[in-house]
Amino acid sequence: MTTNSTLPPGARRARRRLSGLALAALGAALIGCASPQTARNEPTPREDFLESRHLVVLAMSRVDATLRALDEVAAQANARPRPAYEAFAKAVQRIEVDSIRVRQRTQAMRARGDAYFDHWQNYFASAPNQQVRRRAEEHKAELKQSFEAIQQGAQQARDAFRPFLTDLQKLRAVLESDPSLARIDAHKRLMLAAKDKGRQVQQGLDRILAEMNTITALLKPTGAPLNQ
Amino acid sequence: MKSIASKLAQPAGLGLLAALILLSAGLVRAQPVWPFTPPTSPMAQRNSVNVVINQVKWLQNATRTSASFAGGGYGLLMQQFQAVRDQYAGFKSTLTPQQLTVGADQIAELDAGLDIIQEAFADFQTAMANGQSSVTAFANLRRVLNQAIGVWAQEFKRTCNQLRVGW
Repeated sequence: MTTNSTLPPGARRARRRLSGLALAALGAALIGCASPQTARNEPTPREDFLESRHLVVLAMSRVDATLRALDEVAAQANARPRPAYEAFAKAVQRIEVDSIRVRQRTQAMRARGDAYFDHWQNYFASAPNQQVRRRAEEHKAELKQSFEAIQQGAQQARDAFRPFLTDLQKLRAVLESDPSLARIDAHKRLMLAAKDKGRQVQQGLDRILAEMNTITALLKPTGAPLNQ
Repeated sequence: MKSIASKLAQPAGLGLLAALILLSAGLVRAQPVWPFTPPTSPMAQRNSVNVVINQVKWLQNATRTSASFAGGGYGLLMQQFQAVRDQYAGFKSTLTPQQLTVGADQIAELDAGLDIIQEAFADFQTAMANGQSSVTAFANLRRVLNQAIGVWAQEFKRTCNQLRVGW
């Protein structure tokens, strides 16, 4: 398993783009899973895997944006602190709401344990594309390993997220009335702690994304054009 | 003769009746007490879905109209949120075993979603303890609740669609 956070930003972007294309190919092969055969009033499985990946990417961008806004508060401390503070307060509010879907997913992963990933396994096993079904069967052991790694990444992100949000909210509260240099300096420790926790969240999310990319590469039908 | 026989039969009949009453009472007591479960039918499911969605709308309305914390707005929001939780619990009890099995992940996520949203109330208290003005802290609470419950309601509707609730 490789971690995106160890790569330079350019390589990370290129890697994400490539894995995005591979995912598009896998997505095209997975679309329609089990739906044509199911009766009208029978529940249909949702496209968990593709959706979860999208949510992880979204959460990563929100954490990035919030950390950048926090940096900006520190950078603008002796220039124009108020607009930087307002942007930071907005970023905190955004992450409070936008993180709900990914947080509820990671919490459900904990609550349901292995059963959560059984649904993913069934999802791959019922793909309309025969190659995907065959590869899911062939790589069952690797898939299980990846599911375990995703579970660990989810736990890391979940455990770090709440303290991260608490620090952000505290900073928003203490700087509200006076985001001056002196005040920002007085809460430097809290800012550093928030950034550290934010990085832990990012690492957890990175880990999930890396494993999802591994699964995508494992299941991608051979010969499928990458830009499908 | 007849009157003597009927006089003898009377206590025996009463005894039999008493035995039957005791036996039936014992049988009744021996049966497990089932919690009240609403009927599971497409109609009951549709009703429970509508009740949850309406309650979400009530909560969203409350986030817009409860202008101040001092005016009892906090209590109102808390009450409306609790009502969403209650209606959602009622909704879950109308699902069929098949829906509960297939949708176990989604149900677990919706459960977690409500727990996460509830944290906004504790965050509000913490923000005030950290020196944030009650006006700003309460405005944050209202905004977060309004948007977060909207996100949750979308997930709820999608889950109902996927699980064919009320079909």
